[in-house]
Amino acid sequence: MKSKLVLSLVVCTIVWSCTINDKDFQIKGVQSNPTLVAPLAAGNLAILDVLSDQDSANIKIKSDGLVYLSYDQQLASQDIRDFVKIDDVNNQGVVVPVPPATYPPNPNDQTSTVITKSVDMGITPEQLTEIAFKSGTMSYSMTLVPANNNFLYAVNLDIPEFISNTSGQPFSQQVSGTGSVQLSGYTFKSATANKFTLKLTLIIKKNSSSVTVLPGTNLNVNFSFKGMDFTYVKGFLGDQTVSLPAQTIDVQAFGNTLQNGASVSFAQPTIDLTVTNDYGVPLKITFTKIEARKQASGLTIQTNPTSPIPINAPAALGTSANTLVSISNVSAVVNFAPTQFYYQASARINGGLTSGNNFMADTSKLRVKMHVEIPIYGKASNILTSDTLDVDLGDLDQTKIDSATLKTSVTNELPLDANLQFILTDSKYKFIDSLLTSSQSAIVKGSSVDSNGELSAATVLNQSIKLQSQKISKIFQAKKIIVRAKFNTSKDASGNYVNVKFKSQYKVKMQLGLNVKMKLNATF
Amino acid sequence: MKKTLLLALAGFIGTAAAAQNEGTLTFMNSLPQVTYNNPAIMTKYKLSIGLPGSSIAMFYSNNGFAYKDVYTKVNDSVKADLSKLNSALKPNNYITQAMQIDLFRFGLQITPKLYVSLNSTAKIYNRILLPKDLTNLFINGNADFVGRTATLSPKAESVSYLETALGGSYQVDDRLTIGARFKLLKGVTNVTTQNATMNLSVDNSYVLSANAGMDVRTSGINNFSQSNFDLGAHAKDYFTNNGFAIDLGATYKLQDRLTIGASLIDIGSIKWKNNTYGYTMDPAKAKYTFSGVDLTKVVNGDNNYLNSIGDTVQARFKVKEGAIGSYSAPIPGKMYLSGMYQVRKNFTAGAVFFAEKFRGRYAAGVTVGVNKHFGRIFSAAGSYTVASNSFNNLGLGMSLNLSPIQIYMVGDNLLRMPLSGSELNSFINSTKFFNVRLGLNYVFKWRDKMKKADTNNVDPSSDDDKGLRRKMYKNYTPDKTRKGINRE
Repeated sequence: MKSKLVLSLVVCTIVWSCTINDKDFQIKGVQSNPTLVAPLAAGNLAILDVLSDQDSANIKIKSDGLVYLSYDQQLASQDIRDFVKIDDVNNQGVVVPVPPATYPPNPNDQTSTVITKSVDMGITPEQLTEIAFKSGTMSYSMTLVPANNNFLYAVNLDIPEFISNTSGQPFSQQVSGTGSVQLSGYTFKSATANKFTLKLTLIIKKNSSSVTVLPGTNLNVNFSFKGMDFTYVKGFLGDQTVSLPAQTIDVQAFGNTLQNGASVSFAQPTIDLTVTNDYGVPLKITFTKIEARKQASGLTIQTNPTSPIPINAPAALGTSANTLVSISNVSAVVNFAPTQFYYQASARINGGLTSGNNFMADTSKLRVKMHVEIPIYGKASNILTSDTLDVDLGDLDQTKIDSATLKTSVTNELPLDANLQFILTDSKYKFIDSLLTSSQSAIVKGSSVDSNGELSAATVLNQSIKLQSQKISKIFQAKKIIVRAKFNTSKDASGNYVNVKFKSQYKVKMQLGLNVKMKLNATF
Repeated sequence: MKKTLLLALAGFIGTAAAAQNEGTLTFMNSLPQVTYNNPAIMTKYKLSIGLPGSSIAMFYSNNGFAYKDVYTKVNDSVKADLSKLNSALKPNNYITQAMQIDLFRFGLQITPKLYVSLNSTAKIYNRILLPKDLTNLFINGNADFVGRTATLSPKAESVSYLETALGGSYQVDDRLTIGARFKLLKGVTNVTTQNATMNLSVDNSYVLSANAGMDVRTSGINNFSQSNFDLGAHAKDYFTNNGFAIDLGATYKLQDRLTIGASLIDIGSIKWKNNTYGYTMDPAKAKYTFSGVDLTKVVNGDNNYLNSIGDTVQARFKVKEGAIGSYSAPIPGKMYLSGMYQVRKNFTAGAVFFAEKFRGRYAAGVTVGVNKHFGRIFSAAGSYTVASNSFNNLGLGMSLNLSPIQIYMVGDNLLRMPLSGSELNSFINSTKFFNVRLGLNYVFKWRDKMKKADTNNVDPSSDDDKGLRRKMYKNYTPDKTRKGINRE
């Protein structure tokens, strides 16, 4: 009985207790304050990374690591072959008398009268002793007066000054009636400048019948030379001056990165002009105007030597000679950071001379090449770069962010300070706010340098930048974030900018992280 | 709103899990199911039969947190308190749920020294490992990980199988009884986390480094994700996963009143063949360190760089899945060490140390308790258990022995339910370890004879070794209790 009672009591107690008040299980809300950390950006940046992509092909490194910009640009290629022009030579008539007689039938050709004529090509002021014809046509026509159809004839034409390029023999050809001969393939070579000789020999052709030639019979031969052009010429080209057309040349030589209002001063830039001359003639160039241009302003470039600048000539046809022309105010030009070069010049050959052994080919050029070297060694301030990011955090609940801290760790070997700012704007770039206060924007501190501008000690800057809550909330209103960086080179202890060197091995190691404390609250 | 006990238990178990050890059951020697803890123990009844549902056991354990750690009451309003939860968590939080249902059970004492049993039991075991770092990531963010490596990967284990076991216990001599049970296993479904890692390191500059690896094998589960899968047509396939396991046990009588026992339960494995499907991630590839946007690439105008980050992470941490070959996986194994002291007639006090070892986790607990037979009609046990980092587990066992029917209920944290008040709330709120076994057995013939060595199952009516019997159970009459003389 006792056991049954105990059993009953236990069972009843269990059953009675087996009820649940579900209030404890109806969770009405949840709150959490997680803190999330994440890396934002990292990198080992060198000066090579910072320089503009447009300059990248021109960035070079000296043996000690000093980075420099090297530019070679063909400024112009002037053609002065137009000094020499060979005009047409027309109506060169030659009368060949035919001896009167009754000629019996003859089985072979027989030579008869010989007539020579000197022809002046009329070239002036050039005195050419050699012309390699690239083109040209010699035309001829002949008429027998009075006409005699039974008389068979021809003419042997010899021009001793026209030498075949292939056989090396003077021109010699039997011609009759009318016809033409191409001069290409022949080179005029004469001890007497500009002149050649026509030698005509009458040929009485074989004939099976006898024929009578009346007294006073002449063979009239007419020559013309047209379309002559040359592959090269030699001789004296005369004292001539030509004005070269003005040239405006775009240059990228001065680093796009360093534009945009930056104050930049380079310590050891160089600009050289190299004139390469194919013309075998004494030549001087006079720059009537040469200047560096940027937007609406210009800066006169001072050359060394000054105009007129003697240009070296090659010793033989087919070779070139170089003449180096320096820019004496190079620092001013480089610091001016021009975007264009403009120059106007004239060229004079054989100035004051009356004779000479000149030559030129039809392919000869006068080439001017600019070589610029700008070591990244100097001082600069207010170099600005910026980029715009599109953002749209409108769907996020800004109240969920309790606080945010930007953690920066920067070890900088570059002698360059960087101030970073995030500018918040609306979709029309209307300013809303800047994310960092002015005291927070100095993210990177430049390294210190020695008297030679070389790295003395890297700077290490670890900061935790707590973002102001009112500024965080404006991120959610922004549609665009303009990331703007302003760079200045390092200063000395007195706060003055000094010349600093940027070497390829100098790095800025950056690690940016974000610490965000969230405020999550949900109700059910 | 009030609910019934069964509804409450079902809901509770449905959201949780349990380890399979049962400390209090060891004290309930009136139940045939006591042999599940040690096959060497001979049961009270010469013949016992269990029909489907005769024994239903449910288990839950959570070594990390109880429900009270999840919420806070503010002005009578319940709010989830994630900080409180996080502080309650252990580095590795194992939440285990298991269930056993006897489909058939038969036990028979063939000779006074030999007892045999045959049973068929369906077993389900689910366990998930929830690293504290993972919950910490969601609750407190990853700032706590700065300067260290967090382990984030959960691990899941699940096995369901049908066990058919033939067992026996044999009394070797007056002191020693040995037992064994041989089990043929038919696996139904399985999830085995062979390997799963997901580590996240955050350095002082907030650089994030992650590495991961995964080798998860399943059997019989992927079928259900196929829209045209017909379970009826493939039911036979679910019994092609064969396995074998063994239970070994022994009891030894150290003194007249003191008996110790030891057992190893479910030592075996199943070879999974049906619908095996795997999920892998190559640890050699699944690595990535994010230091932030690479300024060098951005400054140099690598416009594809930012998009490539996502593509790279996706490619490296891609989970490959597909059919795999057969594989073997162990079932959760258990161990019991017991010591029982016969304090007085029908009253035993003792302690049980138990442990479970399964896939890299060794979980142990201890139960101290007493058992009292109130005649043959009613047997009861009370216990106190320390397990799953919880120290508030008051157990209870009861069996109403109305031969041929025996109704029973036993659990390691059962007694705290009625003691928690008129509502179960405080019990549920503070429970991290709970199990209950209940059911109905058909039992016949309380054993009249009992070998004196079997003090775990001391039968006061035994005619063997009457000296001992007289000494221990003088004037004891099995059919009724005589008041006032039923003690030594």
